[in-house]
Amino acid sequence: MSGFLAMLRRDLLLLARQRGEAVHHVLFFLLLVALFPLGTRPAPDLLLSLAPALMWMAALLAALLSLDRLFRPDLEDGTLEQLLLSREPLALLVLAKVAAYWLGGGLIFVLVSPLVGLLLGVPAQAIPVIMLSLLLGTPVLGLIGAIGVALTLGLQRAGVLLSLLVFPLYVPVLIFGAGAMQAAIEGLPAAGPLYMLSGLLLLAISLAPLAAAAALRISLE
Amino acid sequence: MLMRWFHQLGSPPYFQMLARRLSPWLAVPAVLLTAWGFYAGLVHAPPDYQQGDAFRIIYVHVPAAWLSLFVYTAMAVAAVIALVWRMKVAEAFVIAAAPIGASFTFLALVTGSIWGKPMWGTWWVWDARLTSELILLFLYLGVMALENAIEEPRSAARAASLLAIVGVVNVPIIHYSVEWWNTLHQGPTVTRFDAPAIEWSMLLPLLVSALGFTLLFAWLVLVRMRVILLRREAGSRWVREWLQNP
Amino acid sequence: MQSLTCARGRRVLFEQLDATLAAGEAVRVTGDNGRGKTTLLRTLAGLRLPHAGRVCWQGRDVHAGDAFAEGDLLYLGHENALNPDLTAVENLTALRTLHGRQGDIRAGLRRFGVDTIGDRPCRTLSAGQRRRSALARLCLEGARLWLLDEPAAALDAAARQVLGDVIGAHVAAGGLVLFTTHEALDIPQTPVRSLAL
Repeated sequence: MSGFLAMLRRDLLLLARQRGEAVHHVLFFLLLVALFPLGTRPAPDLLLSLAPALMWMAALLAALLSLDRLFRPDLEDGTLEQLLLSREPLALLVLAKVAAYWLGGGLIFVLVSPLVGLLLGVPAQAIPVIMLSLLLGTPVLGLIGAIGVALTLGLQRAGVLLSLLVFPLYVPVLIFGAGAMQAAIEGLPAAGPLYMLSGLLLLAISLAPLAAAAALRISLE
Repeated sequence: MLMRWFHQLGSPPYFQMLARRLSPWLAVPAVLLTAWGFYAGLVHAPPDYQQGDAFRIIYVHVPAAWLSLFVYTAMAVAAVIALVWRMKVAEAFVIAAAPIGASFTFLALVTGSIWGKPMWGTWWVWDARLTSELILLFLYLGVMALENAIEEPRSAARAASLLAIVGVVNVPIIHYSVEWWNTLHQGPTVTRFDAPAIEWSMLLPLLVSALGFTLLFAWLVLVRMRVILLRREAGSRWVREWLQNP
Repeated sequence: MQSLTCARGRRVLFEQLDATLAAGEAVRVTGDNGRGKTTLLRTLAGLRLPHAGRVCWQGRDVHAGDAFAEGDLLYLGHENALNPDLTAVENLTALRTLHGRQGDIRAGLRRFGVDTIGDRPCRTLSAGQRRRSALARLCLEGARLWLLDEPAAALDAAARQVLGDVIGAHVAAGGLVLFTTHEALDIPQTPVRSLAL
């Protein structure tokens, strides 16, 4: 447990030192959403019907673009091999790192989503469900993404390959997350997909760190 | 005793010899059964009264779809063996099976598309089954791409194995989520891929084709594994001896 | 290690390496560049899998997973394991907890003469200062086996002296040290065995 907290503290400290990151996420989200209507007719009904897909695609893309900072800096400065040699279970350390990563990324998305919803004309009563679905879904994106990053860590230009590996695994999150948002926008109960998202989150928290730890060992061989 | 055979199978020279001996036993029945299955389905069976002759493509589509899932599962099982026991032969299986499985998936997608065209009027429809197959294709391609990208051969095989295991855990989840998504947006489909009750004259060619495909897969995967193992162990003594008297 | 064979890619680096090492020994791994010294140390640490052969620590296979469970191993690689945006103290505190060690970090930094700069982000330190900060880990207690890959890199003569003293003290106390170095590293009052690749 102490190792988990030590890892978390260290990564949060790093996050605080690199404050620019959080702002980037906000800007990315807003920019993507602002650009989209320019590519089509900005009719309210059209934008509203596409809002869930748009928000989730933004979340997916932001996750993919920022996943690199999860392990690559540690690989480069030699910390990663020390983590592999530590007494704490590597899976626990991975969980701590993903938690810190999410606090600086996915959480930002959750907090900015009401503003984005406003831009897309989402009705006010749908906002809580939107935030909740992002709250449940973005950690899963980080956890699954960690596996992908760990697998491609040894490669020089891993960006597109990472997307190819990770996108199929993101499909359930996209489906249930967007499904929940859609239901809320139409005024229907969103409990079903939200429960599925929680299930995915629990599964990811328990299994993904183990897979990512195994992948890290393989990549560093 | 089973464990002893298991570990013996993991030794590349023994496996090479075994695979070569098995090859003709697999290849001949594979071709025969597949040919019979295709003939019985594509030529001989009566056309379906609703969907006409295009329906025949089901005799290729359904076995291909079954195989696409079966191969991925087999790949994942081999991946577990490769990672836990660090067996080179199991690693070779994972790498050998992936392109074959991807081909079956691609075949299933193409035949599914051909089947659907007369009914829907378009070449592609976001049906639950086809969408799941498409994602499965991407999972296969991911495993192949990862193995290709990593230079160190054994690390590449181990990374691909881990990805295959992660994928197999996700396959049921993806399948269920796509089904859910489909029923949400399209309601119950008028034409479904599964016939409600398949009678024996249709089922038999399907099963025969499926068996033929399975044997075909077994034969092809063994051939590929032999090449892969020879290439990987190129520096070692048993390969030199093997090449001298094949 | 028994019949250890290591390879990088398709190239076999060395084959059939056999050695038994005991407590209270200092061993220097020698060989030209590219002979596999780093690979050997990483394999001994359990970071790399050998192509063939085994490495055992106290009777337990290093690659089976739990040979170093008591935190017996201290590995220092080419990199310093210091994040540039954190200070040396912050970096070492995290590492200390992760490795389950005891000891005073500032005392260690003082030994190597970098305690005054221990509270600046590591990106502002020179290469030698960073190396010395990383070496401060050696002053923490708890590890019996030290695997040091070029610990003397970027160090001036005074720092190398301190390093030699620290290694000598560890060996005298019953620890085992394997290291590689291109610079002259003098370890006072300790016979240094040589392992050639």
